Amino acid sequence: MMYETFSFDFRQLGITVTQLQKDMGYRKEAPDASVDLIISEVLEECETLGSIRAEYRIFENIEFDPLSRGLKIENIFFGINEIVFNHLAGSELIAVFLSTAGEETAIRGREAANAGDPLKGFAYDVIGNEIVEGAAELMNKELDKRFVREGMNLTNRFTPGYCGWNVSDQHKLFTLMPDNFCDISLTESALMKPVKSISGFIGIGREAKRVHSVCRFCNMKDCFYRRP
Amino acid sequence: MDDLLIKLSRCVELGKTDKSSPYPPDMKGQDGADELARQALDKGITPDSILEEALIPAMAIVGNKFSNKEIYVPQMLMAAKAMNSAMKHLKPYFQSGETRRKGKFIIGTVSGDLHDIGKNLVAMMIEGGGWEVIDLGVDVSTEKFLKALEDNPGAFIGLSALLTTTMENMKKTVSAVREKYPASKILVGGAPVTMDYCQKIGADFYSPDPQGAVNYLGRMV
Ligand code: B1M
Repeated sequence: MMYETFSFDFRQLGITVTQLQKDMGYRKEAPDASVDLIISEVLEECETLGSIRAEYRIFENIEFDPLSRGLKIENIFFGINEIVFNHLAGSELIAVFLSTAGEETAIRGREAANAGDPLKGFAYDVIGNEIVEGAAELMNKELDKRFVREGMNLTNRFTPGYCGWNVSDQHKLFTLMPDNFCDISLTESALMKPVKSISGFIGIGREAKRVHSVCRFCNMKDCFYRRP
Repeated sequence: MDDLLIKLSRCVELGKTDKSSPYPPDMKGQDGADELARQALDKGITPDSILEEALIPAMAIVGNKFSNKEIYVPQMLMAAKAMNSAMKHLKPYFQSGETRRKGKFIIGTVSGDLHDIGKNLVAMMIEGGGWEVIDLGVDVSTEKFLKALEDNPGAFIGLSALLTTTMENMKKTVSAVREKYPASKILVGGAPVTMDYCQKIGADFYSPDPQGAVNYLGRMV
C-alpha cells in the first residue's frame, strides 16, 4: 500500500490577506482597514502553528458501479452519487486523504472571542479553513508530481457530504485509514475532530481530469465560499 | 429623540466601540458606544430608552443589512462588540430588575456537533434584539436543553447544526422538548437545515440567518 504523510509549516501554505478577505465575504469591495489589521495580526500569530498535516493512501482495489452510481474500495461500498461518480469513474486508482489544521486555531479563536474580540475569533476560524484546504492542496501537488511521472492525471478532491454524497460515508472512509491517521478521530455523528479537518477521495488515472472549480456542482448557490 | 441616542445608535450600527477604536476612520478620536451610553445614563435618559430607542434599532439595521448581503460577518461582529460595550453600563439595571429584557432565549449547537461560529452569531444578534441569551455552547445534549428550560420556564429555544448527520439530533431534542414542554417555541437553523426539515421535525421556526430569528422572536412578544 502506497501512502505518504506530510507536516506543513504555516508559511508554506502561502495564505494571503486577500484570500482571507474573500473568505469573509468581501468580493467586490475591500474591507475597512481595521479588518485588514486583524487579518494581518492573526496571519502573523499563525506563523508558529504546528500540527498542520495531510496524508493519503492509494488504493488499487477499486470498482465502479454505474447502476448505483457507487464505488467500492477494498470491497467497501461508497454511495458517491451522480456528480462525484461522473468525475471519478474511469480512475485507475483512488487516493483517500485526510487533512487537518489541528486544534490550535480553534483554541486561539475561542480565546479571542471570550476576551471580547469576536472579530479576531472569526479571523482565526476563517484562517483555520484556509489552512486545512491549503494543506490538502499541497498534498495534492505532491501526489500530482508523483503520478505525472507515470503519465497519470488527477481529478479534483471530492469529500463526503458534498454533491449528494452522504456525510455518514465518513465512517467507511475512516475504516480505510489507520487509527488516528493525522490525529483525526471521527465521532458517532461523522464529525471529525479537530473540527478544521477534511476527508475525501482523489481519482488517479490516464483519463482523469481536474476541472477549474467544483463549486459549480454544488447547490449552495449563496455560499460565500463559492468560487467562480 | 435625544441627540445622544442618535449618536449612540449610529456608533453601534457602524461598530464604533469606544473612543480608542480606529473604526470607522471618519469617527477616529470621537466617543464611541461605551462613552455615549455612560453619558446618556448620566444625563438621565432611562436604560429602557437607551435599549429600545438606540441599541435594539441599531442592531436591527445591522441584522437586516447582513440578511440582504449588504454587509458581512466582520461588520456584524464589530456592531455586536459596540453593542456589548454599551450594554455593560445597563447590566446593573437588568440585575436590579429596573430594566427588563424581552424574554429569555436558550441556544446551543446540538449533540454531536462542535461548530459554533453560526450559533454564536445568532446568539449575539438575539441579545442585540433585547433578549437575555443563555448560551449552552456546543455538543449540547437533549437533557441539557431540558434542564435549561426547567430552570428558565417560558424561555424560547434555538438549535443549531452544521452537518446533515448532526442535524438528525435536532429531531431528538425537538421531540423531547415537545413532550415535556408542549407550549415551548423552538427555532432551528444552520447550513443544512431547511424549512421543510423544520416542519418535518415539528420545530416552530426556521431561519437561514440571525435576523430572521430576531424578527420571529419579536413577533412573539
Ligand atoms: C436557532 O436559530 C438559528 C437560526 C439561524 C442559524 C442558526 C440557528 N445556526 C446557524 N444559523 C445561520 O446563521 C449563521 C449566520 O448567518 C449561519 O451559520 P453557519 O454556521 O451556517 O455560517 C457560518 C457563520 C459561516 N459558515 C461556515 O463557516 C461554513 C461554510 C462552509 C463552506 C464550510 C466550511 C467553511 C468548512 N467545512 Co464544511 N462547510 C460547509 C459550509 C457551506 C456553507 N455555505 O454553509 C458545509 C457545512 N460543510 C459540509 C461538509 C460536508 C463538510 N465540511 C467539512 C469541513 C469544513 C472545513 C474544515 C473546510 C470548514 C470548517 C467549517 C467550520 N465552521 O468550522 C467536513 C466536516 C468537518 C468535520 N470536522 O467533520 C465535511 C464533512 C467535508 C469533508 N468530508 O471533509 C457541508 C454540510 C452538508 C452535509 N451534507 O452535512 C456544507 C453545507 C457544504 C456543502 N456545500 O454541502 C446560518 O446557518
